[in-house]
Amino acid sequence: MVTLNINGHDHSVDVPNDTPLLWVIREHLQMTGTKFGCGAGLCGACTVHLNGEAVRSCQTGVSQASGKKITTIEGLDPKGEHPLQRAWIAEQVPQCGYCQSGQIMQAAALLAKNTDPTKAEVITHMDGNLCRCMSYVRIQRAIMRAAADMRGV
Amino acid sequence: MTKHQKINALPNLDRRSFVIGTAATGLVLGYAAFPEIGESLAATSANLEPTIWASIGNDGKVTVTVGKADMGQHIASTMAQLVAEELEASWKDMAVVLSSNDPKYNDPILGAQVTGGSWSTGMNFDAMSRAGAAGRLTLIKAASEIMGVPENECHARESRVHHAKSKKSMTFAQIVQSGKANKTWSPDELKAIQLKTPDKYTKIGQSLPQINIPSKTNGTCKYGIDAFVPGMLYGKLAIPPVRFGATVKSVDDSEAKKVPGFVKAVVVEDKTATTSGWVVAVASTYEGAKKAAAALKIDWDMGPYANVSDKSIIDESRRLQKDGTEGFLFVKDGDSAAAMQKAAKVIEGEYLTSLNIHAPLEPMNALAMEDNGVWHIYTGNQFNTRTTLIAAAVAGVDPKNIVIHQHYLGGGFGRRLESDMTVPAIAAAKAVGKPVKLIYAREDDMQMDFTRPLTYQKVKVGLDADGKPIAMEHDVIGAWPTARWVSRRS
Repeated sequence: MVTLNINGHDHSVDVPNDTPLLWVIREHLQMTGTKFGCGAGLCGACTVHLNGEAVRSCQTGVSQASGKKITTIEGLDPKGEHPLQRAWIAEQVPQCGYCQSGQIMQAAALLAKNTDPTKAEVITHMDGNLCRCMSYVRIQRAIMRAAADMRGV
Repeated sequence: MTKHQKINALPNLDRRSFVIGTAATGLVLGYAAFPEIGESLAATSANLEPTIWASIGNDGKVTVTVGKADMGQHIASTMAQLVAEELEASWKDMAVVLSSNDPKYNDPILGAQVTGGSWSTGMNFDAMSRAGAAGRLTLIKAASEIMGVPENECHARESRVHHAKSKKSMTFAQIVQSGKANKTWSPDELKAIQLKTPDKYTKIGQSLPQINIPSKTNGTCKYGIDAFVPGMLYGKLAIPPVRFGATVKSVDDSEAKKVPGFVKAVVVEDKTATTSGWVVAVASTYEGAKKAAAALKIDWDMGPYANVSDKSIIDESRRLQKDGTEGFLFVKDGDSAAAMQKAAKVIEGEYLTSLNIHAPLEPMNALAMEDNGVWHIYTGNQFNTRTTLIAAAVAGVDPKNIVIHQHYLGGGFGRRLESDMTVPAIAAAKAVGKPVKLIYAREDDMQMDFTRPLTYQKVKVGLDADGKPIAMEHDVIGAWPTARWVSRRS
C-alpha cells in the first residue's frame, strides 16, 4: 500500500512500487486530466508537479512520489483560473487539446520561479513538450501573457 | 506509365472518391437530404427541439448535437456557430454534445458519419442554418402569441424576441418555459425557410471563442482514453514485428500467469486484415496488462510481407516506372513524348518522399462493453459509420446493436478514420466476458499505423537550345492507402 498526496488529498493505493505514477493518477484514481502520450518520457503529456518541479509521471514510480506533494492539472488552481489557464483561453491555444494539461503544468513550474522569462527561456523550458497539432506559437504567446499577468503589468 | 495519350479511365481522384468508394461497398447507411425530424417533445419535455440538431432548454441553453468528429479543428463550435447565426442566440448560450453513431445523425450530404477532407462546414452549412432558423421562427411565433403582438413585427436578437413597437420582449428561456414553443418541422417546411444573406451575418465570419477550449485547460475534456465503466479490465496488445499478414501459431502464457491480475491472452481473429497476428493480454490493471503482454511468448508465422521494407517498395516502384504498362494519367497537356524528342537537352531526376506516420498524441484506444446483446464502444473515431459495421462483425451482432459513445479525439490526422482499435477491444471483452479498455502503447501505435505511403517520383524535363523547358513528364509511384476501403486485394 502506497500513500500519495495529490492536490492536497491523501490517496492510498495498493499497487506494486514500480507502477508509474501516471497510471495510478489516471486509471486507479480516475483523474484523467493527466494524459498518456508515449510512456517513455518523450512527449510531456503526462507532466505533473512533484514538490513544485515538473516531472514526467510516466517515468516516476509511485515509491518516488510517495511523501511528496503531487499536483496535477486538476489541482493547479481551485477554480481552474491559474493565470496560465486564463491565458490559454484568451489566446485560444488548444486544438485537439490532448497535450495541453502537460504544457500548462510544464509552464507553471517555470513561472513559479520566474515571472519574467525571455522567449528563449520559455522555448528551452518547453522544449520537451510535444504538440502534434502545432499550437506552439500560441503556447508561447499564452505563457508570455500569463507571465505579464503575474507581474501585474 | 501508359504513354501519355488518352485519359478515358481516369479514376475520380478528388476528395469525394473516398465517399464514392465507400458507397460502392455498401457501407453508407442511408442518404438524408435533410435531417430527420425528431419526435414532438412538447408534451413530455420543456425543451424545444425543432430538429434533431439543436434543442433549447428552459434555461435558454442551446445544445447543438454534433455528428462530426472533433479532433481539434473545433468543428463542434463551427456547427454551433451556424445554428446560432440563424437562431439569433447569444454565443454564451451555446453548448455542444457529440452525437452517437445513430444514423439519424449522419452527415446530411454524405449520408454517413465520417469526418475528414475539410468537408464538414460546407456539407452541414445548410442543415445547421435551417435548424437554427426553424428554432428562431418557432420562438418568434410563440412569443408573438404570448405577447399579443403580430408575428411579422417581431424579431429575435441575442437570445431574445423583441416587438419594437410595444417595446415588449421575452428571453428564449421564458418562451421555452411557457411550453408554447413546440413545433417540429417537416423537411419541406425546413426547405422553404428563407435563410439570411451573408451581409446580414453577425456570427459567421467572426472569430468566436471555441466552446470546449476551457475544458482543454483544466483537464475535464473527455477523450476516448478517459472512459470508464464499472468492472472493466485492461487490454494491452502483443504485436508481431510485421505490419500485415502475420498469423499466431502458438501463445505460451506461462510467464504472463505470474503477473498479478493477469486474466487471459486473447488471439484476435483477423476479420479486417488489419490486425494480423495481434494478441491482447488482459489484466485487472493497465500496468499489469503491459507486463503480461511483454511476458507472452508468441510464435508467429510472419506471412507473405515479412520481407517488405522501404528498399523493396522503392525497388518495385522503380520497376513499375521503367515498365510503364500500369498506372493512369492524372494530367495530360499536349504531347510530351513528341516534344521530348525535339528537346536539345533532357534532364532527369528521381525523388522520394518517406513513409509517414500519423502519430496523434492520444494513442489509439477503445473501451468495449456488452450489455444485454448491445455493445457499447467508447472511443474517438472519424468514421463511425464504418466503425459500426466492423464492430458489429467482430462482436457478431447486428449493426443496430452497436452504440458508439463518441469522445473528443486527441488528434485525428486521418488515423482515426480507421477502426482497428475497436477490434481487439471487442475481441478481448468477448473472450473474457467483461468490459475491456484497450490502450495501444506508443510503440504499438507507431508500428501498427496505417501509414501514409512513401512515393517514388521520376521527373523528366526537355529543354530547347535556349534552355527553356518544352516538355515535362512526372511519374509518381505510391500506394493508395484507402484503396482497401473500396475493394479487397491481397
